[in-house]
Amino acid sequence: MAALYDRYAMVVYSVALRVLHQASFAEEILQELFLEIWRDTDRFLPVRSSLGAWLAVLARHRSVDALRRRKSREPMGDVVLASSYDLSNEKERIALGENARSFLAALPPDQKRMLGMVFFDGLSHAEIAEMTGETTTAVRLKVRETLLTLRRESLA
Amino acid sequence: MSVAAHFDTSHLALFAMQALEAEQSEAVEEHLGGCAFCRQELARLQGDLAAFAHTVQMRPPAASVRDRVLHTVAREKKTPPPEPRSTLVLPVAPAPQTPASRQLATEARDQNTDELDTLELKAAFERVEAWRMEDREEPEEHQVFAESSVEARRSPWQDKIEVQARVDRDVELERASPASPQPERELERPLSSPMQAPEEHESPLLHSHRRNLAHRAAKDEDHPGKTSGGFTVKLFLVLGWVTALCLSTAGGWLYFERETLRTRMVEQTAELDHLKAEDGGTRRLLETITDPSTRQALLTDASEASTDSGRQGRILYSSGRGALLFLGSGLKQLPVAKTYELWLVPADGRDPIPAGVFHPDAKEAARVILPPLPRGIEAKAFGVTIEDEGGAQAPTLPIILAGD
Repeated sequence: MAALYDRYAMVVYSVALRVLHQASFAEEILQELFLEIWRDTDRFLPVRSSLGAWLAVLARHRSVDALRRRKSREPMGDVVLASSYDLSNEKERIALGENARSFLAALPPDQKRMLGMVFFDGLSHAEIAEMTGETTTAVRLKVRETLLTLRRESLA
Repeated sequence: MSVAAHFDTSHLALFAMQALEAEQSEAVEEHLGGCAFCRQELARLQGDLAAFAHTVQMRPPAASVRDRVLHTVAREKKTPPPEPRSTLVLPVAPAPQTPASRQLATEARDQNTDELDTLELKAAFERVEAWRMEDREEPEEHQVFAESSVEARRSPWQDKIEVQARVDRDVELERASPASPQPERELERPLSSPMQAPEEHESPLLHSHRRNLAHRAAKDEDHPGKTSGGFTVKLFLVLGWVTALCLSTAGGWLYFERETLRTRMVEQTAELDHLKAEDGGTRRLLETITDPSTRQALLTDASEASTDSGRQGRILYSSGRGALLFLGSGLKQLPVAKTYELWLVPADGRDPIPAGVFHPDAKEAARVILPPLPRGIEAKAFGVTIEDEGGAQAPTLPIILAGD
């Protein structure tokens, strides 16, 4: 458990902090997530693909749930993900972060912002449409384009 | 099922981020149950999201959280958890503690049994202490024996261990000469001593007690087998604690080891699953490309208006495997809410089957890799149309690219 924690705590914490903006809340998410893994290893075993990626996404979901002050809709382990990254080593994680940032840097700023608003701020596309004055379809497509850009660039 | 229209990537992305309205989200969930293609796309999107999550600025959490987590984990390991302990604890009955069973228990590193050992030793020690106290509180007897003989003292706790008559004979043995026992006389003594006690009670107690201790020390040397009980018990007590210490250290080490292995196992299982999934896809791709029965098709611009648009596509299709690869080029970006869709026209005259929606990238290239298709369908032709976002069940004219 200590090894697992040392490996992934920083990613989990950083994502939670980005969503919740407050260290104490992020620490709570971090602690809860790791204890949940510890208490229910069986459910955690069949997680396909990289643990690091899975934890990063789960950290986001838990944080947004906390942000929305509602009970978690999604039981742990339901996130199935196919990732081509090996995130078990620190260098890979840093490289992924840097690459992803540089790919996104090439995108128009408002397009990037949309994905950030959904992913980190937990806003629905309808809410974003209202805030930005775009149509919901446009918001959806911008989100998609950003994600697909990430995928294409990482495969290239 | 797989022929049903798929959800668009953007829809799935919002679903993955729980950003859809409840009813939309339910619709996606329902569809996912029966659609492997969308499930796969969702999984890919989760991977993309993980990559996006890693763009945050990394900050290390406070060390206190680590302590809290590991502390809780350690504490939960100590309290019952039936699953982790069961591998270590042997079902040893607590009652009979023969040396053999104790050895077994020790070998099994069973801390419960060890605790029992210690408790037993403690109880024994307490019993011995109690007898000693009794011994000190009965000075009358000391007095009697001190008066009659320097060697005549035995403590009551020893009496409890042996038969009364035997004790009496020993007393006499020590009192007279070791070589000439006088059993007949001795038998009368214990009967008379309690009678004498009250009269002799006034003698200096402290003095007699001290002498008594001296006698005992002397006797310990003479009869180590009989009188070293206190020492043996102490020895066992110390050994008990040492064993307990060793076992708890060993136990701790085993837990640590087990935890490390468990973590490693979790990671390796996950890695294996990942590799398996990856390998399955890669192998299918490779087989499709290298299989001699795989047919190739070139898709060319099918619209009459522009013949020099430069758009074209190549298809590799293996009907036996239901595997298809499409590479397109020269495909212009479409307005929002529109998508390209690939179609397979079956040779038996059935309706065209949708073979995946796609969006070209900035270089106007596009690919569809292994869309979910039923097996064993011979293809007469392939086509590409433009559809509304999300794809359609039947192609909408005009056909942009076509080939057979």
